[in-house]
Amino acid sequence: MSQPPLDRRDLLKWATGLGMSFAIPGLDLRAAERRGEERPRSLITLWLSGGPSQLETWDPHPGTKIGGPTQAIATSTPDVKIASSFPRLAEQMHHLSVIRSLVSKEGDHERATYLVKTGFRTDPTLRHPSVGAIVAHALPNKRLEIPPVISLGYDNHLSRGGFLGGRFDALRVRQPGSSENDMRAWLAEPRQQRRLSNLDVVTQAFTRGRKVVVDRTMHVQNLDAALKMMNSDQLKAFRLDDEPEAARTAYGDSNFGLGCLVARRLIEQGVRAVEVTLQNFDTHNNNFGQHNELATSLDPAFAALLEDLHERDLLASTVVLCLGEFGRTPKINGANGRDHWPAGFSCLLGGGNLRSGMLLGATDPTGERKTPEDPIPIPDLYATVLKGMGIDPTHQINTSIGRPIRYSDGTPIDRLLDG
Amino acid sequence: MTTKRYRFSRFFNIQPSLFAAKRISLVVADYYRADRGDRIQFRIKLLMNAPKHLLLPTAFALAILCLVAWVAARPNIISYHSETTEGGKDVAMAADQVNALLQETWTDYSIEPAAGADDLQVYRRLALALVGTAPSLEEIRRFEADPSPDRLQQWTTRFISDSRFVEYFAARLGDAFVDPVAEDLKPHQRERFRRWLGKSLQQGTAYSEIAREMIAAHGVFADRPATTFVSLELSLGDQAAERLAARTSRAFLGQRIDCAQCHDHPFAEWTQPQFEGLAAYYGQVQFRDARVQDTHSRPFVIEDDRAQEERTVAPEVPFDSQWISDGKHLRAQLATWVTHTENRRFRRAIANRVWGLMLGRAFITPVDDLPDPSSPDDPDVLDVLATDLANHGDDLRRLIHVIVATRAFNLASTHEALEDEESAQQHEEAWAVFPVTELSPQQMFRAMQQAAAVKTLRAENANTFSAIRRYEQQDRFVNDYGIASDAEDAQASTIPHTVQRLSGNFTRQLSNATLLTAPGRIAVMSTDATTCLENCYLACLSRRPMPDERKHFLPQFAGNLNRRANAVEDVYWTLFNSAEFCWNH
Repeated sequence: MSQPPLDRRDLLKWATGLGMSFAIPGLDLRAAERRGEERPRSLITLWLSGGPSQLETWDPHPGTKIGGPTQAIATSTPDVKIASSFPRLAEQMHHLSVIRSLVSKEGDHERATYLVKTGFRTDPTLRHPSVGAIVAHALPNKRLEIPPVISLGYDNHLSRGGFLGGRFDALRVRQPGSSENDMRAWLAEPRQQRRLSNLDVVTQAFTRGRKVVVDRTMHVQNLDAALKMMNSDQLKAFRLDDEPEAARTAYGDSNFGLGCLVARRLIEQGVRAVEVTLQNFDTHNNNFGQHNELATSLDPAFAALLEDLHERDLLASTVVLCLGEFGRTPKINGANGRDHWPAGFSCLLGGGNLRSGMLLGATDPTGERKTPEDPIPIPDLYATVLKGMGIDPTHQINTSIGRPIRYSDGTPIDRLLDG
Repeated sequence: MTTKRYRFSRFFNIQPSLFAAKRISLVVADYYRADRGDRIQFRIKLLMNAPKHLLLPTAFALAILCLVAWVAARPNIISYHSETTEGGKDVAMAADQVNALLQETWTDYSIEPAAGADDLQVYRRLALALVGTAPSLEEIRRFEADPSPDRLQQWTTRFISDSRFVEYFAARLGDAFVDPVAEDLKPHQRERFRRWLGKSLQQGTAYSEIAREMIAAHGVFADRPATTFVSLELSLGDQAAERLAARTSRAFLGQRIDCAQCHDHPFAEWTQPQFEGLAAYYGQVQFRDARVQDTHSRPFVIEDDRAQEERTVAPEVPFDSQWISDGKHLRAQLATWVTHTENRRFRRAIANRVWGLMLGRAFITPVDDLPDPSSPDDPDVLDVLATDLANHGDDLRRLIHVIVATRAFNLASTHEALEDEESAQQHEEAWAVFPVTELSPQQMFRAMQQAAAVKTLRAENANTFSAIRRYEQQDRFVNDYGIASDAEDAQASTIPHTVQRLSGNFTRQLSNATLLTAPGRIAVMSTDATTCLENCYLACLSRRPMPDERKHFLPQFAGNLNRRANAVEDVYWTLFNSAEFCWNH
């Protein structure tokens, strides 16, 4: 492997940022300016699509009728045990808090996904923005040349900008780190220039007699922004060729693992919200086998991400949240599976201003009582996450239908917030 | 024999796959010729085991194949009524009534409407609205060669009978009734529903009949695709009756009565009891053993959140209960009420939706929250269209023809008033200029693909493999570009989408000048540079280049064929990325 040659721009960058770059090796200079708590916040969501079983992840009940064959292991947080298929994550648990009592009323994938991705129930009159879009809206980053909300992996319900607008729709990259979604300009410069000058001529012709209307389409501005993005240095956050082999190995060489690695690179560039999706949690049959299989992707990726963020002093500025649209039934069905269960499921969260090492809520080990102790509705979770990122959840947006809507309707959970 | 083969090939494109099978069998034969020794051994084996191991399964497979082919080849006879001949004058009269109302508005606000649009431009709008794509180069040639004064009307009829009308128009309209991205909706069920709707429209089945079928049909979807309307909500579990009541009033009446589910509607007069009464009409329907069926004598019970108790609710419509006539079951009664000739909301709602599909912007938005109709003595455009529709057997083809004949559809999208925001808005609101609207993701995909082919792309002209490939490409493209269900808020103009168009694989493949794509063929076949440029413009934008464009582009076409091919690729790329291509105008 040879080093890519430096061009003039790179050289200048190196020269200006020399001192800094030596202090924090291995990082892009532009993003490396600020670390620790001063840095503007970002959100990484690890989305477990299909509805992960709380019993096979963060809320195991071994030895009970509902627990199945799943075993529990101790973690770096005293008194918190998680499923034994997550040994590496167990060592990083002190960075996180556990909620074992999320509750919602939505047991259908589509509606539940809407609720858990936006913090609001579906409303026929308007579409709510995803939490990632809200974060990007609340914390604009002027220097960012790539989209502020990015979704990595195979995501069936793309996070949308909703009433905040299409520019907050997530950019979807199905195979993070692969060259397939290379967004760089690929044509030789003179030909690209010729095409762009062609475009000017055609645009002029179309604008004649339609000035206001064409302006409104934002077509030209979008083209400019798109070209800026295609030629942006920040695009290299999507590529992994300069990552050491060791990093790939640590994250686990799965699509999800690479997604987590790319996610870390993206937030270093100042992307506000990254969602990495791991699918196939809808385990109506073969629940245990399937969860073990998925844990081999989730465990190394999640653990390596926390370790990496911590080492790079990015954890104080990055909220990490791991959840799916609902949990799964305590009862094991005839196909050795578990069905949808929105009454009492789990999530992990940490980073930013969130307190770590906390354990909230508990589910009934017999599975008979439906409501968990200390039930926490999804809106409360997001009010907490937003607050953990320094965003006021009560901030109101005026929607096009004339109804002002808050970033979140929930109440922040004080126990999870620092000071 | 010819007719039979023709019909055969139209269905599922069985013919190409049969050819493929034949080809494979030839290869296999070759193989055995080459390995003589093996062949003999194989034959012995075959003879010994043939009865139970090979012959039976083969016969079985053949029988299935024949059965499928027989079933597939059967119901393919549709008679297309030609409307232009009988209804030309009549359509113009209805359109004139609409024009008079529009003119009234223009006079009131003293605005001058835009000039008439060029015929080819109107033709492009027509194709985009009805078959969901810009016209092919082939179609443009035929259109231009057609000297008849009513060619737009003729093409309207032709487009409605086109298989792409079912794929596109029926799909868009169908989304109002069946949520295309609902979790429980299987793709083949969705396609079946759309095909049923499309074929019904093509046959001129009354819209009231179509609506009745959706509201009241029972059975399995394979036999009665309309049941999907009901079964989809039922399969989602709790509160199905409430959701069905909401969907019925939104889809068929353009009213959001469901806001009253939790509280009385803030603007309109809907109340919670009215909503519950409507929901009670769906209280007896059930989805069991894949069948939609009704259980009589089943009371409709609502859980009252506030009183913490259950109450029984009797079916009751929110207004004009005299329209209800006896029906076999509650849903059938509801259907007669919804589709009653005097129920103005019903036909106004569909007129508004079809107006929206034709012009890119509904006459009143949002389409499911229409204001109460004004007094019958003071009809608006929707009333005129609705009355005309009722007088013509609720035939939506008729409605489409009338809308196409209105001035609103035929005005240019340019106007000097569009230099200034305020006057622009005024002219747009008064339909004094054709609205510029963004193509839906489906239109965008289909138009790009069509521009890259010289011939008209139709499913029946494609072989199975290219059809599947196309379907996958479209699925992915539409998915990346926006979600089909909320076409109104899906935006193709975001930055990632622009990047995709600028440098994505799809654009790259389509603008590549090869012998199989239009860019390649145009580069090779055009006699000179001017024709070459003109062909590119016609294929992409359905117009010829303007003088300044011609002056800019022509020098790029000089030189050998290779350079010309490059120039064509550049023009294609340019036009794909132009606002003119991405926005209907």
